[in-house]
Amino acid sequence: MNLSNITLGQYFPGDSAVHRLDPRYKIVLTLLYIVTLFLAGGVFSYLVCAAILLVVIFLSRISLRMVAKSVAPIGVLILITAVLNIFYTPGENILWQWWVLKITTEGILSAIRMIARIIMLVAGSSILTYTTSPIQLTDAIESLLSPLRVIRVPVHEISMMMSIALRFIPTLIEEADKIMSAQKARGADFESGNVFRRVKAMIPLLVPLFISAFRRADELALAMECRCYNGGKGRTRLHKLKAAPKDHVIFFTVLLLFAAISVAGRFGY
Amino acid sequence: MNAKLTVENLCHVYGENTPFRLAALDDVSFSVAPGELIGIIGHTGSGKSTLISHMNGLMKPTSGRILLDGADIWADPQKIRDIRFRVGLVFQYPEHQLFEDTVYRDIAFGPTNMGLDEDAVRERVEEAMEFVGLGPEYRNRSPFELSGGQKRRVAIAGVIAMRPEVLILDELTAGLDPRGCQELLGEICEFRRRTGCTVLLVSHSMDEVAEVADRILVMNHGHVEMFDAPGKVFAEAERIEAIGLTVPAVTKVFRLLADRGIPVNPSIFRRADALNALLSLRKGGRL
Repeated sequence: MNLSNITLGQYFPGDSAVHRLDPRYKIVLTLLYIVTLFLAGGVFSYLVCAAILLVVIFLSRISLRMVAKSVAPIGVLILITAVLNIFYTPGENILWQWWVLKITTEGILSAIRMIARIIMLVAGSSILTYTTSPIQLTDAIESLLSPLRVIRVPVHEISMMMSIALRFIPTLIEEADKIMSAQKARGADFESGNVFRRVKAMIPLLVPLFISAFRRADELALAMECRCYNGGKGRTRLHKLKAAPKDHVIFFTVLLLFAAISVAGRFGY
Repeated sequence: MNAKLTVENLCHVYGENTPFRLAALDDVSFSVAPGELIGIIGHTGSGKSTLISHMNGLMKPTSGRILLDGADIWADPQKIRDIRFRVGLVFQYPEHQLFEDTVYRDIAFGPTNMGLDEDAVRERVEEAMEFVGLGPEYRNRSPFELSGGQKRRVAIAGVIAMRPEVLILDELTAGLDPRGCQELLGEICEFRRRTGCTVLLVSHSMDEVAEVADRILVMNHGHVEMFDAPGKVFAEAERIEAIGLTVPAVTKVFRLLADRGIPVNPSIFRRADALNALLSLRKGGRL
């Protein structure tokens, strides 16, 4: 078992048009894309959604293989959805029937629609995480949530917690790797035995890992206090998010496109 | 030659077939005699840690072999755990691996994994605690309430308790005060004297290695730069400095003395030898 090859925060550095788009717009557009997918109705609107996705993938210069990789883990989910839709969609046009199971034309169509929807949904959101660094993401979320400050939601603190968590994932993985090596050197066996034995075998890994996480948290808190960190009040940023006129144009163009698809979808196209 | 541990043409490449390809070890070969104390030095990233992780089978060579008593440690991958009991590896900052609620149980982790019965485990734990200078009063204390130096002793005892034939220590004294360093180093030397264990001491402190090592292995960019007795290694001070390392402080002083025409051996590396050399000079009235 090697922990170092787990990819987390799958950001792919680049300088494409998609990478450069203001992360706040990227998040909003991704959410709207998902909404549009659910409002789309007929073949036509689905094809347009797929075309938009392909254009964005092409613009981002992320390879199709990478996008496919992000869809792969939900293969089982897609399969279950497809099976349920095929057998449980009520319809008139029965193609095949056995006991309580029957396949209808409507069922097959609905299954295809659901599969397309899920694949495009996951592929679309993976483009967001592929082209936006975790730091940009948290900054954008902080900025998008900032109106909630009015009702006393600690937006800055939430986003700081997210950034710190993201920052420490690789550190903790490295630490876990080290501790595992050290315990293996004392004959610990993480790889064989049944579930209970394996869970028990994790104790020599988890206890030191927790202790080190607490130690790091303590040290970080101290370091932050030494630099007079006192929350979000009056804090300025090095990299201020600033949407350029180009970003506004892209945003509103795509927004109109999504609206058009949704309306067309409602009329069954 | 009946070598205890032999490394043959060992190569290790990280990230083969990716843009991040890095040859951490490049054709490393050397062998260690039974009971020898070898100092391994090299700057950060020279491949020291990768090298020692191969010796007990935590990492698998990209190519090349590691022989323990003449037998390839990877001859039977199923038995690699037995190799880990024979080649004890103490990592850098080993106190971070402690997890049990008492000192005794933590040290017993290794011997228990070996499948020994309770009496044998107890015997080994008590022996290991004695070696590292932990009295029986520590047995039932929590390792987490001990001081840094004592925690490290517990962790080292955890490896010694497996009675390894080869003991590898990575940065044994990192982060300890000078007195703690001296004591710990003394305990390891005593352990080696009493058990005849082969010891590999990885360090970046020349002074520490110079005092205790029989031979010194100098690593540079993944290959063996030098492997010789300390006197011969430190005689080539320019070569050592060219790869970003320094000679022991004592050697530095004696080189300066020799440069000024004082008749001393410029490659002296032990403090005791240095003192004797100076005293005899004084007796001869030349200082």
